[in-house]
Amino acid sequence: MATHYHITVNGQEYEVELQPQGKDYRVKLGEDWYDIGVERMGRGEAFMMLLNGYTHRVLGESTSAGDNVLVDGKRIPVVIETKQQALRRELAARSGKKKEGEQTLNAPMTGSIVEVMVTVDEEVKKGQVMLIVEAMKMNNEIRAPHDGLVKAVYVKKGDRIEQGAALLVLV
Amino acid sequence: MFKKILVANRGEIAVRVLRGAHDLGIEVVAVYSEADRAGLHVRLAEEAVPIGPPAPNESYLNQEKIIEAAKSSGAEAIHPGYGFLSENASFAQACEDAGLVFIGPPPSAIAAMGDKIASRELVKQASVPLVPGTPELSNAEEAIKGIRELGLPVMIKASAGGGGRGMRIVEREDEVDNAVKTARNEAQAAFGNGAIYIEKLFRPVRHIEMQIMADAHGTVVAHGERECSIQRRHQKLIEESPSMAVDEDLRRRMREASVNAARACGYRGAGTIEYLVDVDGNFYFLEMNTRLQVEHPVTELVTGVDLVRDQIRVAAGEPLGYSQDDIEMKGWALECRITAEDPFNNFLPSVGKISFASEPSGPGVRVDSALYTGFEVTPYYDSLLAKLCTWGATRQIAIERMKRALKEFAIAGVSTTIPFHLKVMDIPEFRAGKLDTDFIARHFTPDPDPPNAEEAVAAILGAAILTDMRKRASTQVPSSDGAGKGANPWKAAGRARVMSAHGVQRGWS
Repeated sequence: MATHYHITVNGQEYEVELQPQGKDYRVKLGEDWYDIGVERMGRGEAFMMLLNGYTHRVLGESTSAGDNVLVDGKRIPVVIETKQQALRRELAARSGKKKEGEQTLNAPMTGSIVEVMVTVDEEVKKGQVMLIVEAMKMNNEIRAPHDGLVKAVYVKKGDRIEQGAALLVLV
Repeated sequence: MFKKILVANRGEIAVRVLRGAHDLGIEVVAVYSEADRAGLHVRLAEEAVPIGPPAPNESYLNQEKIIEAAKSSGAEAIHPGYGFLSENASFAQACEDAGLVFIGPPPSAIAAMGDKIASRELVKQASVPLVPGTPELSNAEEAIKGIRELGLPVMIKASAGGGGRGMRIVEREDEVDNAVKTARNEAQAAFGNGAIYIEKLFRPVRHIEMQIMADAHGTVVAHGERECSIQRRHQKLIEESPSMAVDEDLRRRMREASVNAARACGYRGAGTIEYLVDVDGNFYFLEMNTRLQVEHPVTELVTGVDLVRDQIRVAAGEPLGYSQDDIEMKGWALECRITAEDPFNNFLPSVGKISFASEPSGPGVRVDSALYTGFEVTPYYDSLLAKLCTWGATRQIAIERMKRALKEFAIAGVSTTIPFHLKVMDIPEFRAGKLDTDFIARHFTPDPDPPNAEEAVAAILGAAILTDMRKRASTQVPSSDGAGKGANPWKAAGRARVMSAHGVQRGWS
């Protein structure tokens, strides 16, 4: 039975149709059909893909920041949606329900806050160091991903934080 | 020779030391914190003793528990690895007091070299060239005076510092007051010792170190140098041996100085003397590390010596069995430190489960690691996952082998520095051997290469297949009739609930 997915790579969205053939697959991408041989490596999300005589090692990875596939060692972020999910997202975007530009920055790791260098209502420039988090014996700078205004700061110096904890909100 | 030793460490170095001991027919007692029960060092050891919670202060730094573990298991000696208790003179003394052999230098040598100001004075007496600097500073006026003598820029350093901590660069005279204050406070907080001094800052400069080994019968040898200039924030990332900057004459002089430094402090065991080498080929003593170094494998690859084996033999009282003239450096060796950090996001540490790990092998490749599929990278310890080393008859061959091995190395589940190392191997100045300690800041651009067309197609197709595999795996989970062999239906039902709560398409575990 064929399944349809919407896959976004490098900012481009692609529609894919997938037909399992035993442990192999036939996949339609754009107008082209690909016959793909699949050999799994171990029990994890790891397999070798035989594609038109070329081999690729594919590893799946799911992180707090989203999903990645590692193709021959290169980590490529991907967004995978079913047809319905993609449609819903598009409708939501069209009706303007999506919140404008508000972004919560979460702790990328478990650690402790060494320094908070911004305050609420402060304007920050892209790349500016906003927080320093200590983890694995190292001080790590949390930088602003874009120019913006600090709307909220949830942590203070000395706080222990868990991975994924909300640190601050940037608009 | 010992029959049984305890390895007071974790991760790749615990495994490395264990292998050295096993090669001598010695049984190994591992110790582990609650976070490391599944560790490779535990699996490979004959015996394993739990020593407490994950936090290092409560486990790998807990001297009483470790000594107690050695006593109760009947180990005769303790190997500290690097880090943790390896350069702790009071621990070395406590081992001796408990009737255990500390596989390392005498406590007095650790203490003498642990204090930078005192060690500078000590090696100066042994005619080892020093980085120009001041004695201990008591106030900012002395700092100003010192700076005027040395010339800017300078580095304010903590006497008890190490691993890149407790250092402040001063470029302008008006920064002195502040730098002295912060360096002193930082040193007091980090090491309980606020003593600071000033060293001249060389730029550009190479960081080159010399491996030495001393036995208890008066033999001291210097194996050869390691080039460690590829650093980021004073953390070494890539090391090699020999160094492009060291010719036979310089090597002979560095060896002589290093042997003198070791003799000056009554050294025994493996040690490393770190030097700065300036553009004119002058070398200056920086500090001595009184332990096995992380990067010791590159020396082993070019000399054929097993440094851990020699450490253990020397600690057991055996003569080293070879002399300076027996040491020959052959070919070229490189080491890339593979850490769980994201090189494209400011080297942010990455924690999580290694969902897939496959190490390279083949001609000229050595991997020192404690990795396996399912290994959990925790926030409690340093982020080193593996040391990938290659050897070649020439530097060129070693670099090409490194590229090949880096491409073979597959790790999923956490970000790693493999792409960083691949990029460095292609930087023309690296290939030409034109290295200095600012190399990475100057040459590494922290942008991932976007996927090319072929990779993008493979990523799209691969992502679709992975999603389908995952969906099939979740629907093939046995229902409550328990069809699957040994499967737990309650667990499966719970997992399905969790997955549907998060949207089934998200996340491959």
